[in-house]
Amino acid sequence: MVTMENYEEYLLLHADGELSEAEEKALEAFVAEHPEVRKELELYMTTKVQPETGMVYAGKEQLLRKPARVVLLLQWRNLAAAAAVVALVGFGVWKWLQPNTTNITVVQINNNTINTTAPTDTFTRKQEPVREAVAGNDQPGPERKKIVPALRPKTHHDVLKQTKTEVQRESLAGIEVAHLKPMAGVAVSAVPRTIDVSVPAVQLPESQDEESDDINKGLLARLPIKQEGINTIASAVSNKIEKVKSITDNIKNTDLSVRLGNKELFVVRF
Amino acid sequence: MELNDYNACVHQWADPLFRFACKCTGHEEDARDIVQNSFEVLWQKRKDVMREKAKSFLFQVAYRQSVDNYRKKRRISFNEVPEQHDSIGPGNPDLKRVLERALAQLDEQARALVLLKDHEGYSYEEIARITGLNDSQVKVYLHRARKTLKEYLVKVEHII
Repeated sequence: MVTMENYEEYLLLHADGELSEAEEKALEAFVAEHPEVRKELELYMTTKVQPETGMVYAGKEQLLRKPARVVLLLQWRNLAAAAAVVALVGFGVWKWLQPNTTNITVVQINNNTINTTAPTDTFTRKQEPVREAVAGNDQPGPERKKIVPALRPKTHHDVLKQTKTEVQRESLAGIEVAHLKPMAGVAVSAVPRTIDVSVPAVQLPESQDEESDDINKGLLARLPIKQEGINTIASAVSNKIEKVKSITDNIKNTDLSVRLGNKELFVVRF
Repeated sequence: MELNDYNACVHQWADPLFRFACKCTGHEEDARDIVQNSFEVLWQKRKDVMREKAKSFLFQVAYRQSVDNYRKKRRISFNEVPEQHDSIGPGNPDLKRVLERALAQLDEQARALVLLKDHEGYSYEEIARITGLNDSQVKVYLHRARKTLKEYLVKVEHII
């Protein structure tokens, strides 16, 4: 019920349009009974802000969204096809190269085996001449022991350390080092000395001449591979090398063109 | 909401949203940014927003940006609000300007509430959802704003 105490709230609710139909009628009746309230009602109704419909947002088209074009899908399809082609070509090349590298690895292992028994002439050990090498003598073939001069002077500290460990036997990169005999007075003199190093006398395959063929044959003979197997491997390797070479030549003369419709996106030249 | 619904929202609500933001911030350029951002958010959330809720969603985003972001700036200057020279509709142009100045007396939140009520015709409940206030707060703040506007009009009653 509208009264003089609460009529203002009714006026505000009326201005806000929040009165029910019954409340509207009650307020209307109250205003009719109290004409002095009508002026206040009109004032509240005046506070209602009217929208300025002439104020518009310029550039609505920039807010609009366009449907995703089919071209985009086609582009994805073409890109996927191009990627598949590149992947296939790459896989093919890799597949061709894969067995070759395997064979080369086998040969490399053989070479390494040879190399490990080959001399590394520049390898040096410190001090202690005198003793003959003990280890490595069980290896057949033309091996010789070599005395290599020390590259750096032996210091007092080194000598002391070495005398503490007494006889040492070191093996590094397939080279057997002779026992080191501690010598009294060496620490005092600190004179550079040489040690015995067991160095095989086989030369590197690259530097071998006709005379070293026998040596090489001897090394090959020591390998746990039959001569026929070696020949088979060698011929297989040479065949694969020829194939790789031909593939490489083909690739060098091949262009990969990726096209989107009639438009050429890019060309891959090998 | 699909693409067509979104574009329909642009045509239908870009202008009201721009007017709301313009009145709230007092800056046309800021209002344009708010409209762009609001529609950008609507586009990103279009899968989650029903077509019939899009208007409330847009005004909710615009309200946050207008009121929350600009509240600290305190740079409302209604001198920069573009003057409306035509299509004002029925009424006294002088009263229109007085009411504009009266509106400028309100804080950003109260102004936004008045605009949501008078321009868009939202109920207290709908305004509460948009602004994050409760129904009672909306009612109290709106009545307080309306009284302020009325008092300002009474002071310049000679114009009216």
